[in-house]
Amino acid sequence: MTATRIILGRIIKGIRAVFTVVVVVCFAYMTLAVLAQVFGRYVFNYSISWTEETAKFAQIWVVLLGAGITMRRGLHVAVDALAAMLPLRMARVLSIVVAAGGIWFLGVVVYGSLPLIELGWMYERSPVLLVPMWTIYLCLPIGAIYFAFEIVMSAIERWDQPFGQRKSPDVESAS
Amino acid sequence: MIFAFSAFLVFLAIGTPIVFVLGIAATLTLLLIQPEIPVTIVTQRIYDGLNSFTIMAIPFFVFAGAIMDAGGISRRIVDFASALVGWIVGSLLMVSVVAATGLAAISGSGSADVAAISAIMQPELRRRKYDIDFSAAVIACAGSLAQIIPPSLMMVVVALVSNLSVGAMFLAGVLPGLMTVPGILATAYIHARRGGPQYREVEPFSLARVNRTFWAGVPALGMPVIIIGGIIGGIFTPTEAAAVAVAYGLLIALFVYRDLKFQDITGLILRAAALSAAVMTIIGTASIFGWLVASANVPALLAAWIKTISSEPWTYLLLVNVLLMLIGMFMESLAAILILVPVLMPIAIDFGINPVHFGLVVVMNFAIGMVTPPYGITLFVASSVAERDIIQVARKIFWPWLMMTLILLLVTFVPEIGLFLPRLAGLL
Repeated sequence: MTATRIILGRIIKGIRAVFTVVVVVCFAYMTLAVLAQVFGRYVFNYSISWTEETAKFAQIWVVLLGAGITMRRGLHVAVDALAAMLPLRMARVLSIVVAAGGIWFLGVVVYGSLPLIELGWMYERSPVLLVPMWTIYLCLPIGAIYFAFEIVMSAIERWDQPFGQRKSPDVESAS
Repeated sequence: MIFAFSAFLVFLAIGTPIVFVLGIAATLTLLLIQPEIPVTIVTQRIYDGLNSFTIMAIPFFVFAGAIMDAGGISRRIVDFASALVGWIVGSLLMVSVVAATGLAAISGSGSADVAAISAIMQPELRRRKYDIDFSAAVIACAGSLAQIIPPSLMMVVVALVSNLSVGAMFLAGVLPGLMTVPGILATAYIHARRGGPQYREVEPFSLARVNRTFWAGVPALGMPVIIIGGIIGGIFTPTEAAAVAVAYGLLIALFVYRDLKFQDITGLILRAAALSAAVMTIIGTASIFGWLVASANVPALLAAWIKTISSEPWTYLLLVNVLLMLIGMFMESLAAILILVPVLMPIAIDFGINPVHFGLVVVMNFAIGMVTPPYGITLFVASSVAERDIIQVARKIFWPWLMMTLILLLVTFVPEIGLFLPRLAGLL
């Protein structure tokens, strides 16, 4: 029992590490690409054609793969003041409903991504670099599945206090 | 549509993350009302919503905000504010408001602004026995100005969905934002006047100190110059300006202030990525909703209905103010902008209202929405950094909130307040 637990823990840690690294690399790339575009234009007087396209792809990867990381950090905003006032038993039931709703929606996203990937596999290519588009669309199902995984993890971790403010320093939002 | 709306309210009320509230309500409506449309549209819309170079300004501004906070930039701004207004009664409140305004000109995010100022000011406010709830309320309001004073994430999104110049939107926010500051300061001053002796404990004014802190703050104050100047001068697109702000922030934090170390950067990137993913997944699912609203022909129906009530632009503006105030109480602002502005803007243009003026009114409404309970993000951040219950802080929000609302009404009915600067710069 403990052995499987340890192995499971390592696998989870490994998955999270992979997503974290990919997201950080994509974010850094996105920043550097746009800076290169500006420098290219003003310093070398040369417009780079592919920075905008690749930066957009990096952005899509950052957001879709990052959505799960955001979940893990408890940064997806929700209006849960009402739910937080419920007795624990009801709050637990609701937290399952909320998690199930989220996972159902992500299931729709995954299902809906299949035709896109098929299209990208067969002939769709990006306008500038002619990258086969399935490589970009692939982040839709991967990101959604990881997001769903973090929803389950968070529901388990928050079983004793499903809603309301968590005692965590990360209380920010981007807006 | 009514179905979408009720599904929306139910999921919102039970504490579902907003990204899913929007996604689930839109998908359910699609499946039930227009089953002939393939469900791939859901994924397609998310992808299209994110496949935009303009919205990339969001992760960059968020990243710049994280750098600003970790790199000691907020600290310098507070020092300068303290030298400027620390001698006035209610000293710490004055400093908080002025510093939050200064940060608003660097940051495009109200909650980052509030988090930074609260983290610096709250320990001091507590030590000197200021009313913590009132202080948190004032900081929440002043920090919300980050969305009115450029740069502003909300303005980027408004400009994006209505094809407006980001530069014009940014400039339109300058005067209304600055006009709100004296109002908030006045409420703080009156509060301090009525309070105990702790509010009268002030620091003496010294020109030498103003001078010293000003020069320490100059590198930080270069940030708004680059962003606003670069966009208005046509040197950068808003997204590029945001990326340059990141680079500039990193340079001064690493080499001038030296509060940031190289190994901290990955942590900041991850934080910025997680925070921007929170907003941008909402943008993704909001665009499904937006598509649904557009395909159900809601703008035309609504326009026809509004025309039966009134044909005067000012009644429309008043109606919009009331509607957005109410929505701002419950809704994440960027998502609300994405869904509502495409509906409301064409009607406004039909009424002969200047689109930049209308966009500004929308942004000011949602900036106020950020401090109105039950869902107000800056109110939430301010109270949780202050370790106070959001309800207690919300009780003290009334006077500063009223000031913001009065300025909103003034700007609503005197369009020139907003339009003067963009016109001056030739952007209108």
